[in-house]
Amino acid sequence: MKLHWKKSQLIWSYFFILPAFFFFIVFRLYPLLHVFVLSFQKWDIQGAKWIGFKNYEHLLNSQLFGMAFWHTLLYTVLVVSFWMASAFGIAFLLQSFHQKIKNLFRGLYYLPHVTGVVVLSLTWAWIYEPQIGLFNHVIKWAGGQPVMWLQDPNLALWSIILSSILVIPGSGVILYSAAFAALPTAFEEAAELDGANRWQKIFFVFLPLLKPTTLYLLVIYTIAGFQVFDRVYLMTGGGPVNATTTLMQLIYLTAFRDANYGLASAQSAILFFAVCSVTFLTFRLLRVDFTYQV
Amino acid sequence: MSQKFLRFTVCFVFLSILLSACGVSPTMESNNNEVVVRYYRRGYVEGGTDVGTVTIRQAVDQFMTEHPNIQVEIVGIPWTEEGTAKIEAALLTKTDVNLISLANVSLPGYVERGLISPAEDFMSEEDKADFLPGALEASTVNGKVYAWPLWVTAVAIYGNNALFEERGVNIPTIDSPWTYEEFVAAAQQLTFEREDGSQVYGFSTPSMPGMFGFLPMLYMDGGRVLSEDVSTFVQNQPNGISALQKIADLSLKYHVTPPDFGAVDQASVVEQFKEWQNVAMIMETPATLANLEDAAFDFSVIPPPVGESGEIVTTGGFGMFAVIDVEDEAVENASHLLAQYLTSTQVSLDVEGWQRAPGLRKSNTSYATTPARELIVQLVPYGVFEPSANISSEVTSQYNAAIQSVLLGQKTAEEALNEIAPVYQAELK
Repeated sequence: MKLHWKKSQLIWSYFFILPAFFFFIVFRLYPLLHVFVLSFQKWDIQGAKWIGFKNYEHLLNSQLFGMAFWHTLLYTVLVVSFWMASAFGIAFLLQSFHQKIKNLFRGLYYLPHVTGVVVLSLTWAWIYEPQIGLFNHVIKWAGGQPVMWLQDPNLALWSIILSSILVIPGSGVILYSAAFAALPTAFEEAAELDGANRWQKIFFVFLPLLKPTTLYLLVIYTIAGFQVFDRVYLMTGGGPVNATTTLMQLIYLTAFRDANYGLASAQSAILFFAVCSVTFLTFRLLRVDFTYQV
Repeated sequence: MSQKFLRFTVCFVFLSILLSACGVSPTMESNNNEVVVRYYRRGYVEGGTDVGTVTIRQAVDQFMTEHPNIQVEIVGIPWTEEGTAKIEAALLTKTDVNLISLANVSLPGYVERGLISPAEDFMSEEDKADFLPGALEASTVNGKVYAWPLWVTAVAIYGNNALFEERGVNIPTIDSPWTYEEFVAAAQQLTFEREDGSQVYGFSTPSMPGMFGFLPMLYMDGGRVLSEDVSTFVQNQPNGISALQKIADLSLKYHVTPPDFGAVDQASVVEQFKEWQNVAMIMETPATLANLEDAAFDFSVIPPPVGESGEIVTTGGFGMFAVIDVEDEAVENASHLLAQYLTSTQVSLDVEGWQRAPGLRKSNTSYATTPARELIVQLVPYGVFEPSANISSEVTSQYNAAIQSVLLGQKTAEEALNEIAPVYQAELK
């Protein structure tokens, strides 16, 4: 009787998750798998034609794709590194404040996330404006020459990276703050008794104990970094001289401007494997093989 | 009891979701008494009050009054790539898009994909005789007229009259246009620092990829991008190279352009000219003329400068309508009928403000209502309208980047054009 009840429970639980699973299959898994099929086809409105690895061969020889991949990688590495460091650093510094002040700062750091990326990007575009922008206004006031932040091909990508890293990741600050608050104090006290200074405590106590949070944020931020699109699209459109073209933008243009869905799928597949590889490496490097108890 | 109720509720909700997913879309319903034509229109906003939206609504309403058995649904889409994506999505089904407005450069791509119903089969002899020959050429792909031409955007220079007067610069006429050297001298005269320390620049034009406003100047020395038969990339010949270098020199050598020249979009250029008034001349399309007229801005239209070809040169895009090839013959015919009306002289008489660029019918003279518009019309015969080739987005990006690298001083025109030539040529199979 008891066993029968459990089976029934099991069936009902599966029944309840069925709608969500159905939508996952239809709107997530199937499109994902279909991308791989499309990537081996020349696919347009007249139909599909199997062309083997030709799309991938084309991408291997494409200067623009290589450039876009490099821009995306550079953006991801720099921005994610800075986001991780700044989120950890700010959360660490906030620990010494009173709870009310902590909450205030957490709210302040989270505020940019409430603002849309479009608003943020357009604000940054104004800051970088060559004639009336804030940065050049300050530079002119200090007697310097105006800088072409987004118009100089040698500078444009760095300007976009700067605009990203100067927006402190509020979600990271909040998650690290919560993780810090949940840490048992015994480890820190033990380190202090052993004579550890502040840096030693950070590197040998806090960072190892916060690995699960670090792993989660690193994966989330890396995926966001690889998928950078709206910021670039709004601030430079990929220019000048393709100096800020990223993978997502190239995929978008190939699919929707050129209607070359097969090639766009191959680009998407490569992006997918790049993100998967980095995520896998991150999991391997930061896997947690310990538990702690209060 | 409660468990039964719970099961019933869950089953009911689940079945409701499934049934709603299987339901027939209301847009797919057909009505045997009338034909429904769906017209995808860039920039149209349902209930909008801008000139483009109001005039197209009036034109379509007038058409439906005259053809009560044809129902036209206007689907508004943005001018951006999101709009293109929406058209593509509709084209995939071929069921809810019948008429699109497009520029001549996009036509070959659509035709090659087998999407367009030829306009030639539907055009009357009167239509063919009334259209300007250049208009039909621009609508022709592989020897057949596929689209209904509406207007042409002749690019010209727009000058701020107040700044010209302040700096003592005379405005040239179409009979006595500036040479390139005279244009540079005027731009230098119009580049100055105001008493409050703000800088005024002589000239600017959109120079972001995809919105190059300086195109007439590319042809001023007689060069072209493509050969007449669209088989060869020829811009790297001396007269193409010299023209591109002259455009770049405006910034690099003569310093008569704002610092963002080479990477500035259309909206910013118009803003600098109209709002900030720190640019004395801009090279733009007739859309800007309407914008300046609406704002009662004091401006003059100036012909593009004359280069080594010895003639004024303008260019621009042809606005046209293309009917989508669908199985339902009645819908296709109704769509051609609508396109015919929207490109007729009659529509410009029916709807005030309809003609926002020079028309392409000999019988249509409704655009030239002011001296500025008259000059735009006079420029049309000087137009160089290159045949379109279906170039991939990747090579287009590389080509645009090559042009931009010259404007930004990274490469000389000769270096950039010789580098891009084989890449571009490879696409012209």
